[in-house]
Amino acid sequence: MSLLTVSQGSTRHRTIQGASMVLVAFIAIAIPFFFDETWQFSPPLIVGDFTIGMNQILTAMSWAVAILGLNLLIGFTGQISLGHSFFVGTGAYTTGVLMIDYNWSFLSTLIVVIPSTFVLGMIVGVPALRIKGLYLALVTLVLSVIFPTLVRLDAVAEWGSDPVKGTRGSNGLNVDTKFNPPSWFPIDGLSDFFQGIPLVGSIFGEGELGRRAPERIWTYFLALAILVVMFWFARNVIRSRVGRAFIAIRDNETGAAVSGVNVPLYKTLAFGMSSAFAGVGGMMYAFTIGALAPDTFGLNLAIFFIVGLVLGGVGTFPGALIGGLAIVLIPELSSQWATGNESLFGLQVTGDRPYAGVLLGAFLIIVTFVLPGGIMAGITKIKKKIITVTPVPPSRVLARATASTGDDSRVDEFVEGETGDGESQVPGTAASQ
Amino acid sequence: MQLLLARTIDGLSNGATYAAIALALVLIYKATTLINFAQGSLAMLGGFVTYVLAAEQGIPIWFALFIAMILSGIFAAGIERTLIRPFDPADHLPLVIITLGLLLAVDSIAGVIWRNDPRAFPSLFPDGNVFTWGTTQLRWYDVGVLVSVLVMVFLLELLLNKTKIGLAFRAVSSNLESSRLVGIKVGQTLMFGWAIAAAVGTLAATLYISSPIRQIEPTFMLRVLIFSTAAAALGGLDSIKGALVGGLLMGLLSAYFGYLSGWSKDLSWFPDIGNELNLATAFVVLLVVLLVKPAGLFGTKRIERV
Repeated sequence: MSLLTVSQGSTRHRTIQGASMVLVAFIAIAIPFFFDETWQFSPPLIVGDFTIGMNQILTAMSWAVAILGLNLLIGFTGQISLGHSFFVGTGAYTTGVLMIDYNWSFLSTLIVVIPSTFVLGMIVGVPALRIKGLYLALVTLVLSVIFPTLVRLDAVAEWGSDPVKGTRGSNGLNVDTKFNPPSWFPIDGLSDFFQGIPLVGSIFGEGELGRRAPERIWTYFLALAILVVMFWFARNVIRSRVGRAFIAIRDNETGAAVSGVNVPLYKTLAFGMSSAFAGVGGMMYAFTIGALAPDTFGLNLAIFFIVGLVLGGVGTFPGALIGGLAIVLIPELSSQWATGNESLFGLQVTGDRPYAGVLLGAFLIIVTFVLPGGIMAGITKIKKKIITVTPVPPSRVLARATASTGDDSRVDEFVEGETGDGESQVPGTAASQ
Repeated sequence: MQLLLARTIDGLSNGATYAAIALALVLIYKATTLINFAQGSLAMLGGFVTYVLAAEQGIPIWFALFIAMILSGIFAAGIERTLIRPFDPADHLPLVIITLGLLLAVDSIAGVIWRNDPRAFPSLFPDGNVFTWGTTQLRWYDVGVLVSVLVMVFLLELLLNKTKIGLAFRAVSSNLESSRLVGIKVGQTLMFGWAIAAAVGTLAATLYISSPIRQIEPTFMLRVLIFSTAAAALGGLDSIKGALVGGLLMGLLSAYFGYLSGWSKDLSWFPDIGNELNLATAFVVLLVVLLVKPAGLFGTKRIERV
């Protein structure tokens, strides 16, 4: 039995929802102020000497958008792709080349990144109409394996002359990631505000921000803005007619076709959209991290995305964010742990992040067994222990919807239960109450 | 002409190893309609076991290979029992995820143990050439690989067609539910399938890596896996004959691609694609096969009932 029971849509329910949204927003704004002037942050709650860098947070945000795209495909349309690192890489390199060689601003590169990854995704999606399940995984697997080779091709690595343009092959690209905050943005004010909070203010450090701090904090907020827009967009897509078509295809393709869903169209659309999300994730990586190397976007990254998706929770939106954090922090923290423990079971351990793959692979298998819904399923379970939301009976919903003409948002909230949002209960239970 | 012949020999000996891994994929696919993405990693592990036994423990190489095949078979049977069997075979996503997790874990465990520095692998076959004609050489290695793979396919056919467990395996591949009804122990049969596939994979990895021009390192099977999946799709994912033909064809295709890219360097109008894009042949083959003839050359057509 839960501690609290509220009726869906009641003032109390709305207040709780609003309060949790404010809390999330507060944490999101507070995050960059945790970090000191070297962009490190030691979480006080974790035992041991671990530090998290700002770069890891920014990477996690980029991967979260890519995983969100993968979620549209795997979680909501039921098609498997192991090739998302290809689209992330395409987005990242497009942004990198445009910013370095053509002096575009980071945001304007989206004009190229989104359509190009969308079209590329559609092109891969067209064969997906005939290829199902495992075959699709095979084709996309090859895509992610050949990406590093493609980037190194002479034709792409260098073109034009004086100055030479291109991906620079194995040398990689270095995008300028300094963005000066506009004068209206109250960085010092926010910093003072967080430091001034009683009791917890001390973890935000003391005194003035470092010399480079405003640039990095502003980069974070730029990335955050894109992240929020992408999540908002994804949520709206899934709640729209398009999203319902995706879910119908996932649950029963024949049934969807019989119900009038244009299956080929929506399948390719899902692939294109998902790839565009991946492209935007790559663009975020390019302008926040800046260092692009061909091997970053290989098969391992594609599998990491799957790990992130499964760990966070297939078919959930916050799961993508958890997954993004997981696939960045698990390798990082384990490597920090490994540097203190060079020998394990008598083995000399060397190399870059030696345990990353072992841990992520093991987590992937364990989660599939123990918690098939991912971490989000666990959170939802705990949430249900604390608060129960009783849905409004359908008759009253319909009455309300027809009373206020045109406003059918109540009805929409019911569909939500099927999308795995976890907020509301399965519609069938409403009738029994 | 000499170069073309040299490429053909290269293509056939590489193709034979692709065929062997494709065969391992086919064995598992036949029985469970699952593509084991960890097949390459398991084979890599088997190759390393052979390496450790032969190069570090001083066991004669063929005997070391034999032990490694048995060990990898036991290991794979254990994987099937613990990680694969609990899941519904018709639901692909969790199974794909499990095999991907295995791929990631096995690859990085090998990276932790053996690190990423390449080492020389003891040779399975005599050094030197059977014959030399200008730049064209037919090495004993090439002959050895081809013969070994052909012998393996022959033995496998015997095993599947003449033994009781082979019969059970064919029954399970043909219809899982019915074979359970007639009293075949489906679980054990599938375990047997996984074990055989892993042993075949270990043999393939050892053959591939014992080439005089290759060195062993934890990532060496990734390339082979890509070509082999394309080969398996080309031959038909449920056909043993298809795997063999598909593997050899893939080997030849990628070898000729290298030949063409060397030749096209002299053409001014043709962009220099370089030999690195060799892997792309696998992609093109996969796409074309799956679009034009999804069942592959020798595979059974699947008819879907709505």
